[in-house]
Amino acid sequence: MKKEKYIIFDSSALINMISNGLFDLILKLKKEFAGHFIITPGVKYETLEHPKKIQRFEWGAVRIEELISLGVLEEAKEFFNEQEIIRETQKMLLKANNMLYANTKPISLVEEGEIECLALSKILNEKGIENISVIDERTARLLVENPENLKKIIEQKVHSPILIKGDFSYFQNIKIIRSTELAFIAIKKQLLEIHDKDALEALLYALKFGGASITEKEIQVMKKS
Amino acid sequence: MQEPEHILEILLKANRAIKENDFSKIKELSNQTIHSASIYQDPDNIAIAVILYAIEKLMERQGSKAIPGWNDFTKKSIKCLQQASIALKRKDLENYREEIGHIESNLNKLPINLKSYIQEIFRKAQINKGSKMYEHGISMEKTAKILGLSIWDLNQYIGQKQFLDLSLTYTQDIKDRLKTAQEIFK
Repeated sequence: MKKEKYIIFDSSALINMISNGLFDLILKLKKEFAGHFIITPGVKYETLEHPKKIQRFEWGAVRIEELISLGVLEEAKEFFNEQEIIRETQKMLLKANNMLYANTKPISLVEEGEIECLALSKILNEKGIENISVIDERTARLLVENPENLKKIIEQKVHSPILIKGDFSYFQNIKIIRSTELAFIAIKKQLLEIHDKDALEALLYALKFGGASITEKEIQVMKKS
Repeated sequence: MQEPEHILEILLKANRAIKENDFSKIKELSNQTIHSASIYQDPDNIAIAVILYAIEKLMERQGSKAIPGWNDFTKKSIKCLQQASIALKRKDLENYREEIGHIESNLNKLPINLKSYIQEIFRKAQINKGSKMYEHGISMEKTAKILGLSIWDLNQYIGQKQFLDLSLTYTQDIKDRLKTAQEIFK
């Protein structure tokens, strides 16, 4: 029996990939992947339902819709108990938005769509199901991987101390990659029909300038890997 | 309203900067409200940040724009800001918000061609303030929601901004992250 595995897409990563014309690359990656590409309701709203009403972004939304109708992107509700995701999302939202304090006020950091991905990943982890989240934006990733750095970023900006209250360990063990790592896999698997030696670097920079939170140093290491 | 004294100080300085045509000062004042806007996510602070940025852009361009209604809109907006600061000084929040709201309603009275042009300036102002909030550690979706934008608006603009300290965003060895990605594709 084939092992179940899931790649959960956040809005920031999907929008970045689609805006960079990587529709075909998503199709090809899906063919290579023996599992499911999943989106949550909040991500569907942000990438499809809301932009479909805005002419400027309608073309992007149409391509996301096509990925759904082709079965490349699948909705979380087809596989999992929606109520369970909602409950976990609310729990995580409450924790995330009450962890950092400026003076006596909690800083509301994140929204539902971002947290839904983390919540689904946590539920799958608890069930021992292999999964990974693709998140390009910085805050949700820092919340999971290094909340202390998130605190430092805010302190540097507001020039006053930020307090950490609560338990960040709740967010630990969620595996995160970015669209850049997916692009790396696509190039290494020769899924792109562009064979220029600089294709990887060019694609990584395109994704960085499209919103992926990645450093120059990381791009240089990826180039050499 | 969070930090009304701070908003009043910003408005008084902005009125002076507008009289002196000091564009860079207006921009600087707009950025000063972003700290409070990010931490408290207070609509009054956010509105001032966006309006000041848009007014700075409108003033910067008004000399080169011979579009009927352009100067009139800019003058009316500046007048609203002055009235708003008078109301805030009197701690009259209702009138303050009414004056700030007039700026938007004046926008809706403009001829369609000018309206869409100025709306675009306001949209760009929102995106600019959104990118500042994101720099302050607020997530992309949260920022988009606060400013009434789409993540599609913010993604590319944010990607093209160079943040001061990227080292703080480096949270895991890139080779380990690549390994994690490759493993799930096995």
